Amino acid sequence: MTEIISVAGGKGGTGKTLVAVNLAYMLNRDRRTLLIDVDVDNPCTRSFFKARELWEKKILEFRPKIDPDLCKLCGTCVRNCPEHALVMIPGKKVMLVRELCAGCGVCKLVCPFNAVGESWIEGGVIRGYETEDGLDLVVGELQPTCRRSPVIILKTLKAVKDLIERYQYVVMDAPPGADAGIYSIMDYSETILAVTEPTPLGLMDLKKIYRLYRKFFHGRKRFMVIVNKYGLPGGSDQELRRFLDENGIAWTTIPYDDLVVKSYIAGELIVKTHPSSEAANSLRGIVKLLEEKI
Amino acid sequence: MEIVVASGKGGTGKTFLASNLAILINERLDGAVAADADVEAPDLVLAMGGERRLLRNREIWESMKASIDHKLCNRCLKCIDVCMFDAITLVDGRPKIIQEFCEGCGACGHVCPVNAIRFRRTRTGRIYSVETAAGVKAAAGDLEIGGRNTGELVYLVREEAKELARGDHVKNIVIDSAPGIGCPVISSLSGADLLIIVVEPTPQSLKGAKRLLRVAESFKMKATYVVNKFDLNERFLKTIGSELGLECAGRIPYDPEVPSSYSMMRPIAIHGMDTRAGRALEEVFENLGSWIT
Repeated sequence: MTEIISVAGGKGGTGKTLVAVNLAYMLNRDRRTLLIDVDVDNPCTRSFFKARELWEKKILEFRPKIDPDLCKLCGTCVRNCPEHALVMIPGKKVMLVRELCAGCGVCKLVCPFNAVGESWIEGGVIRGYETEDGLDLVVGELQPTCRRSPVIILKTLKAVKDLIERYQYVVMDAPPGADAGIYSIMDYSETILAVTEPTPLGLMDLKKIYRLYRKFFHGRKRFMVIVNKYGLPGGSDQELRRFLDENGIAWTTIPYDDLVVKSYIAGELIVKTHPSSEAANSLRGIVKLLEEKI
Repeated sequence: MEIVVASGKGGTGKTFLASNLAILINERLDGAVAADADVEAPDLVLAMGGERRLLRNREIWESMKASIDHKLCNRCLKCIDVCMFDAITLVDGRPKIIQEFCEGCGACGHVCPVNAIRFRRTRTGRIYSVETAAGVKAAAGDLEIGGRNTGELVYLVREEAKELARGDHVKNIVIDSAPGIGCPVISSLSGADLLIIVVEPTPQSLKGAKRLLRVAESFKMKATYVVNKFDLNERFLKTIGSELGLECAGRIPYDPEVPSSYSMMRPIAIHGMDTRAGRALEEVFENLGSWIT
């Protein structure tokens, strides 16, 4: 049975990647683990490992290709395009605004003259790696100038579907936010770790991701909060604690620690390079919590 | 002029810079309006000391969602084949639409031979504008949790901000973008005048900044950058400069007064210009003077 853990959190820069890479590395020492980077806008897990690329899969997106010889300028595609990405230049042609196109294919379906053909662009790419520590890593990446992050997330999750039963643990590094992409990541996992920081902004965004959890997954999945940078000078530990306790949310902390920042900048795993640091201790504690629940 | 503060990677200090820049431009130039384009995590108003007065609030119901009438469905499954977003799955031999994945594009409706697919409007989120405690008016949006259509909502936030600016005869709008390079960010950049990239001296943040710059280049917009928490890794500043190839608008040091200013809801631009971060902000503001017309 595979245990799938997602690391989310609402706000950016709270330490999701820090938690995901260190947890995956530690879990993999005893049990086979797969780390999936679904922060497709800016995937960063790769920078923490020496890794060899094993495979690559391109994610293609549809774009219409209008044949000027067949097009009668009837405007059916323009009227039906949900993104308003097709513009009629009267008497001349139908023009595609590339930045707006979502690749849904409706234009091709509705054209009465078969004038809309297919072309496919690379909307994203999924790559599989093996790290020197023997940890397997899959990275989903959105192609810059393409916009459909939730679609790339979903396609990445589908691409690894047949792989995951080989592993005892799967750890997913999620993007910031609380949209449909985060929904699909949470939906895919059994345990949701929400990483936050003790600032009013961290608290506000945590509340939103907690609402997402309550609305769709309450009672079906585990939810635990990790307060990173706990004890941050000038931070608001108390307000955060009050919210967590009032809502009966399980939580744990990673103390504010300069070594965390230093190892992050160097692209090192803190549990490997500073195993006796307070932060590494906390991370080991989280691994224990995860293992006990199995 | 619309100034977008963005970063590629999350948590680099976009909201910090956008909120304080809006306050400084508002006080010292011809006024400013702020726009929170991070509709998944709208924190800008909080960073401007909170809300003094709600000006306008409206619900947005623009997200179309498909559903299947199973009394009519003949289970031909054409809808599953045609959906580009993997939003239709087979459950017990019947097609089922996963609402959260549905883009509402209508493709399934066009191929259904028995007209079994219905579309309804769902809540996209809300758009609101406030007068912040810092005295600057701000437009913001809040995406329905688990929602899609972030780009649409960001577009409406910008429209709301423009309306505030027109009403007060204010020229400048400071937009606090979402992290990343996807839909909401593209919607923030499209048609805006200046991009300020906030980058931290880490390889991860630089990677995000470079990806963002590739998007900005497709819009051919002017761009500059600010290094936040630059003293965490000063050796890296040169790398940032050479890899971004942009003019730098300033450097802000790590300063515990910044989280403290959030916790106490006292923006640095009002209460902390004598702190290290405040003095650096002053410099950034001066450097940006030539960009902001």
